[in-house]
Amino acid sequence: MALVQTRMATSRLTSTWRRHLGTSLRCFSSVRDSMSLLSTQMVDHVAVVRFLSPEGQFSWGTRVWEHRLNPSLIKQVHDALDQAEECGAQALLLAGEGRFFCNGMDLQYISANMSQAMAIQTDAEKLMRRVLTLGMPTVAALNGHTAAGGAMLALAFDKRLMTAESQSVFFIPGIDLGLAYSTGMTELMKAKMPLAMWNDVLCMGKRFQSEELLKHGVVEARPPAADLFDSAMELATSLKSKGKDEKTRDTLHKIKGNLYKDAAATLGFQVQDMGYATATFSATGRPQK
Amino acid sequence: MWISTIQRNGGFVQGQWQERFGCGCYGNDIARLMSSRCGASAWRRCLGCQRSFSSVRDDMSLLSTQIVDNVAVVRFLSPEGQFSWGTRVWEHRINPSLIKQVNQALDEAENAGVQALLVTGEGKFFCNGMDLQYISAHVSQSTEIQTDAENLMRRILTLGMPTVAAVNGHMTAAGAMLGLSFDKRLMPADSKSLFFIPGIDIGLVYSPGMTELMKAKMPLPMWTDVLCMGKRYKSEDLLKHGVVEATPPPSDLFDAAMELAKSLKSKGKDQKTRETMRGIKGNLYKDAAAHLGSAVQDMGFATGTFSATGRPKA
Repeated sequence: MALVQTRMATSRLTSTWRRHLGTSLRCFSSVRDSMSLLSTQMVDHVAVVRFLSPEGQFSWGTRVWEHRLNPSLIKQVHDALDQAEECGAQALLLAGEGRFFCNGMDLQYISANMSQAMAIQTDAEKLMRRVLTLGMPTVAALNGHTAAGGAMLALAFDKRLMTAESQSVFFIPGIDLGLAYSTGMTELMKAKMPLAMWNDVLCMGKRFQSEELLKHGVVEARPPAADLFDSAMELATSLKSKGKDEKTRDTLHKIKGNLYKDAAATLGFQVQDMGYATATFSATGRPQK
Repeated sequence: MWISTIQRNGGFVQGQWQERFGCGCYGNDIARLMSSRCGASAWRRCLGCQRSFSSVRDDMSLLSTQIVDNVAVVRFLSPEGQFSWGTRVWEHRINPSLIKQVNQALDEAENAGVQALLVTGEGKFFCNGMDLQYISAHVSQSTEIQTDAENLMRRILTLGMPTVAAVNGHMTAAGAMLGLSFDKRLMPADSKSLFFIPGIDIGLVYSPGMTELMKAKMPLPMWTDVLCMGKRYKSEDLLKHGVVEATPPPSDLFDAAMELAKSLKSKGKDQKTRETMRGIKGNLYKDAAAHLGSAVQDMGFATGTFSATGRPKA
């Protein structure tokens, strides 16, 4: 259904509103495609990065609060990591807000820019590799759904805490969408999940809640939603000694480089066409019937 | 016909006869065909203890296949009797016949576009490993047979549909490896059935492909025990390690396995999904897939220290 663009009499700084003139008359706000998608601050030598969750969609339709991986988000996360490294942060904490931690690759963006599909996947994998081998302890506070490429990004961190809220799920649905994982993604997932989970996660797209992830050791703890950020902050702070100075950070980077050798060697290299052009997903990433 | 076959084998020593028929008698005499049936079996009698042993046609059907609600169901059959080389059919050992028939069943399943695969057996054994008696009688073929067995394991390992093994009985040696190739295993609770891989006890070193397969399907804490120590496991132990999915009561095994296979059909629902599944498994099990069936080393069948029934020689 075509959206007819109308402007409000007053327009907000970041959003303009568009109204669907079909049956629903629902309003969708769209955001400036170049807006800030995250905030960064340094708290007691811990670099704290938060995915922001304003209402609204990018011009290609994706809702911002899903924190999906597109060129904007990837670039901004790199910038945040650059900042953290330059400021000598001793640990990194990444958290989202709202219903989603990260809902995967921005499939609507890729569909609208198919010629860039391989480049975007390569950039996403390189980001995963950077986080995977980052020269400081890394903590991800999984505030909500952690799916597909978002789950892989979460796995790249040293530690994960996930809200005990029962609706939040962790899953990787390539099988349902006709997308086979690249070598790098496969190695990353194998490196960060126990063997007993491999088949269920990769081949069957099984959905997990925090309780089962805790049992498997994929998350460190599952605090109530209200305590998630503070617990994650406490954990990150407790690990600062493992990123305490330049020498330690360099050591950690090299230890991770060896420990995750196979994933590091393949993420972002010789990225195979995952099959976006022939994949069977709808614009919102659900399997097509 | 039986007599001439036995005579042709040559080198027929006293102890070998005892092992071939599993009775405790030494016999210098060759058993005579006392009566023969039409169809699958003929009977032979040991002239020492007078016990009769039935033998089957070497090319008989070893399995049945049917498609139930888009699930391919393959069952290893368990008639009484032995192949002409002595192996009891109901052990479902891996020999050229079984390999060929399983491959045919998989071909049928793929051509019919089924959405999941279930394999099970009947009786005391799921699969008791390589057919060592066959290999002993055809040592020059041993590398070829092992290659074919590994190729079959690789095929199941990367099959483009969800695969379930309902492990009805003992799952040992290469039979355990074959069982590990499946996505999911169910094994009955409280049964005497064992899982173990006794290469160390019979002087057989695992090939790189077999080793990678075992490492890909068992958690790290099990590796040394299984590969180096030939440790024996019951279904409860495997459940604890996550190697089996569930341990239903024996009478419920097949139904539980069928339920599981049906619940996974969406992961094999159409050709695109099945292609995706193959791609995912090919990467997930990259090392095993690369080595199984390639450059198969001589496992040492010629120098292995096993008896004809696969037990370590004293």
